[in-house]
Amino acid sequence: MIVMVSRWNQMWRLFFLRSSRNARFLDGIGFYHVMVPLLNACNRRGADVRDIARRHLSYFNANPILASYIAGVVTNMEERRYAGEAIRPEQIEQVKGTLSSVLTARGDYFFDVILIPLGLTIGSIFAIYSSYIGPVVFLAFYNLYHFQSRIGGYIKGVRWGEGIGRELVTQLFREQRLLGGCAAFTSGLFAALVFTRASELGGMVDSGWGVVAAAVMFGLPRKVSFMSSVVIVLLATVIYLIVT
Amino acid sequence: MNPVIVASLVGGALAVDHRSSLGLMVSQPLCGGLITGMFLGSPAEGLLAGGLFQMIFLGHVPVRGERIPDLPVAGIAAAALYILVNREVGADPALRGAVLLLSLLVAILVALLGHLFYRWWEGVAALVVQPAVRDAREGRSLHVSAIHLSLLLLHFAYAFGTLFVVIAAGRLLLSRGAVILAGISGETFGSLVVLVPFIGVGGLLRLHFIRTRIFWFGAGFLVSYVFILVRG
Repeated sequence: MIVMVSRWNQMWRLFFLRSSRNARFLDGIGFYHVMVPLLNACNRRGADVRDIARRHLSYFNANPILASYIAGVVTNMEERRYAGEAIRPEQIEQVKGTLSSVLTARGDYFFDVILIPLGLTIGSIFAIYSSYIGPVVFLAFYNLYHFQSRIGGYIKGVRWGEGIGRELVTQLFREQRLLGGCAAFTSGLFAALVFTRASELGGMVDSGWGVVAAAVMFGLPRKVSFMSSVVIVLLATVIYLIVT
Repeated sequence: MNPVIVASLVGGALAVDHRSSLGLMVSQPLCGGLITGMFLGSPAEGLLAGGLFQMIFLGHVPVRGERIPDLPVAGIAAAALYILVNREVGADPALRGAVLLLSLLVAILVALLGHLFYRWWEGVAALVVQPAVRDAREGRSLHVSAIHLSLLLLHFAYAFGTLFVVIAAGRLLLSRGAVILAGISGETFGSLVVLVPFIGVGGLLRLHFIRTRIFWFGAGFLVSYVFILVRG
């Protein structure tokens, strides 16, 4: 029962990992906050608790969703260590650091570059026809992966320990390739719908300008930030509308 | 309740979702616009403004170390301003187009403001959390949790305060600005509804400009376009 409460306490804390994000520790205090139930469950005072506190109150930078796996793995290793297994604190630190860097790169790409744009593109396709289903579809699609990684990831980490890393990266890589293709295909579908709708409602002149705007947005050098590109293209569109 | 306060409260709540890593994504402008619209009694207008703002940034990816605009708060600003200013200026289509344009422009400014604020805040936060670091080293974990979670209030307060000021001031300024703009250009800004998504198309092309994925983009475009043509 105590273990169950401790697990539940760690799980909900994972959803607030970034509350105190700062330039020095990034999410270090958030990670410590997740580890607090573990400290309490160990029910140790004095040097041992301070030792864990010192180790987990350091710089921590990971994808917030996949951080659940890391928290699970660290919990598993700490519990085994206090159960008497020969695990050195440096080993735990090493696993934590390695998983953080590998899963951050992979997780940021998977969630930020593929999954969220894919979900939002699907949502936007419905939104251009003023359908309320768009946001619902997006939320359902994204949160399926989100909760699977957040809750399932933590449970897997606790159950399997440091062995989870390789399997997880392989799985992410496989899904990334599949969903990457889907995201690009859906974007093409979105482009076709936007183009045909502009032709119907605004005529060939407006759709022609739309194509120019998309081409400029795409063609602007990467040195120009996304935000600046948006402002340039939007203002050019405003000038086009005033002139015509 | 005053609609400005309602929209600001919605913004504060959604900012907590975005900043705490709760990450349910209800704070994305597409969803935030609809939620704001539901609270203000006009979900269709909320979805329109929030959705268009989302489409502008469809290809945007928050790269670490790069400028990350505060899209959730900005999306709510766009939706709330579009709904509230439209209520003041009436149903004239010329004015509605101008209101949409001004709402989107103000939202972009709000997104930039959020970026600046959080860049400043992350530096300051390192000092604010110092007591938490000291408490943690002394084993006072309850204090650490209290400091850590209390910072959620800051995210709420920032979004609430920004939206309150922007929507309250924006309502007055945009009503006048829309009349002036509509006087210059007539109904032309109504076309924004069909032109703005093209910015999203350009952004998505930028995002998927990788060898295999650009193939799938082209395939998606062609298959859909031919399907639409065939079906008439």
